[in-house]
Amino acid sequence: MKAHPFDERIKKRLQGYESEVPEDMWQRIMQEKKRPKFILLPRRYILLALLLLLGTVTSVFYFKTVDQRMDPTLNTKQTQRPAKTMVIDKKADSSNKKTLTVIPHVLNKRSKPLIASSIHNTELKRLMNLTSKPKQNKSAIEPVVTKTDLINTANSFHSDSEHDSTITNNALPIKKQIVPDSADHSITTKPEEQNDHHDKFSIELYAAPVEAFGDMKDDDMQYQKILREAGSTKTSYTLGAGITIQITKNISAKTGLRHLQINETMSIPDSFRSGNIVVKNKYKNIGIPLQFIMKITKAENFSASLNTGIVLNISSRYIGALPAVNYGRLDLNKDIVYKKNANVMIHFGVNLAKQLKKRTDIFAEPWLEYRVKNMVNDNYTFTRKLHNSGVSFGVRYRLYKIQAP
Amino acid sequence: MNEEEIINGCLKKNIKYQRMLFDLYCGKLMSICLRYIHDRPEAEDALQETFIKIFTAIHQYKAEGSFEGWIKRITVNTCLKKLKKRKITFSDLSLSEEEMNVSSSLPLDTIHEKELIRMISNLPQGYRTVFNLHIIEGYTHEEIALILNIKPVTSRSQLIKARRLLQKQILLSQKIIS
Repeated sequence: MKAHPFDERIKKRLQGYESEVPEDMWQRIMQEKKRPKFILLPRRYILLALLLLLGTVTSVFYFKTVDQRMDPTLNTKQTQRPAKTMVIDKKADSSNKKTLTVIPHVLNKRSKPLIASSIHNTELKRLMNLTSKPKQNKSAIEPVVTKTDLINTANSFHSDSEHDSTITNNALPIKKQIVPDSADHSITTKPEEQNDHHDKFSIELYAAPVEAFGDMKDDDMQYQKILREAGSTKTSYTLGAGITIQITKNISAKTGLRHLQINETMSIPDSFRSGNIVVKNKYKNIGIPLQFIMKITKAENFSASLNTGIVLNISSRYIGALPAVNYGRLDLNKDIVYKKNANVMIHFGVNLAKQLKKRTDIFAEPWLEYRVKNMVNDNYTFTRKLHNSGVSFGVRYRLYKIQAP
Repeated sequence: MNEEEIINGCLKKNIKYQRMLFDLYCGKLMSICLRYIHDRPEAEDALQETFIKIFTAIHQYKAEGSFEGWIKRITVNTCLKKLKKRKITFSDLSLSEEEMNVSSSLPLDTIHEKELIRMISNLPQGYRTVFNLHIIEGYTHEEIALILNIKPVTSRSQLIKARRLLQKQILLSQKIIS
């Protein structure tokens, strides 16, 4: 299209013209350069981080409370409640006779505890054995001995100066050999699974195909267009190993190590500007996941959980090139285009696990990762955030056994 | 000292060479800022920002194409960014048929460049931006449409009206002089 003559004249007059510049302009530029830059995260990221933290803390407390309500043994105060327990306090004296204080729950609160003194050891053992027998009926929680029996026994013992060794097991009529659950815990040793929600570790290995996505932006719209049209990401992958610790029945924490490689092809103008060459870019990262896993459902051999947290990038290596602004070429490594430790990614996934054996699960986890900050060095005018999505497939090995119901 | 030496010195973040670069181009870049931004203090801010960007991103220049062209591009982008923050309005002033005809024989030679820049900066924001991008910078209407997020037909109509208004201002200033 032929240029308008008026336009040509204007252009000719103004090209090369230099306007007056304030005398202090150089000082202003130097001052601005020296000013320390405080980079505050945009408000939406702060809000997202706060929501994540609040959600995690609330979930931990909520599920911990749920666990305690559902499983009274987790709450140690309940085990000390005297209502269903029989507490025996033994004090040995020098004559090898034991003073026994028995506080059966059948007594009302106003009753004073009965004191049976000078009970022979064998009798004491018999009483203990009776109370420690396994329960036979879940619903029935009845005392081993009745109130009358105890009173009679105590009185009979108290009246004798010496214990009559002829007292046999039949001295105390036993109504039922049913012991409440809680009685076991107070009299006998603690059960193996008293602290069954702590110190439960699992290890896992996983791999995933990954799709990376995200745009490049630049104030120069033409350069932005060149960058966006120059290439595209290809199918990438991740490999990782993790260790999980169970915090409560439904919440676990996970960490580990993860290798991520993003592949990309770029079309770069050649040195003679006669055509383009295709370059294969590789972005390799090592990261440490720090995540919370929240169980949302559990069937017989299947469980589903929500996995949220962050992946801290600790090391990166970049191979390849990008088009430069003046038809040149930016070498990713030599020109240090991307940041080496490229910050944090927010991870969100849904873990679906199937139990294969007592200690082994296989799982699949579709996930999404959001890169918080720009990965391009501040020395460049363009910005880029590459987010990832994928489906991890892996194996988990529990270092503890799941008890059969 | 040639341009290559200055660029190499700036790459090493040597303040002496940075000052040389500033002295060499500050006048030209200031006139660009004044053409795009009507308000003088804001135009000075844009110039300050431009030089900081140049010093920070100088290693991005790969010695292919004109260095002056590269820094002018940074200047234009900085000015556009400032304008976009306040949203560029594309007004549609109605001009008479007489005003729509632009004479190519306008007495431009008698008008000082400073005055010409002042007239351009007095144009409505949309007219001014399109005029600068097309006439001075040389972008096509399609490229301007992409940069400003408008339609190419809008860019063309804004340019036509910018020419007419500028002509009107030139004629008015000539009448005042005579």
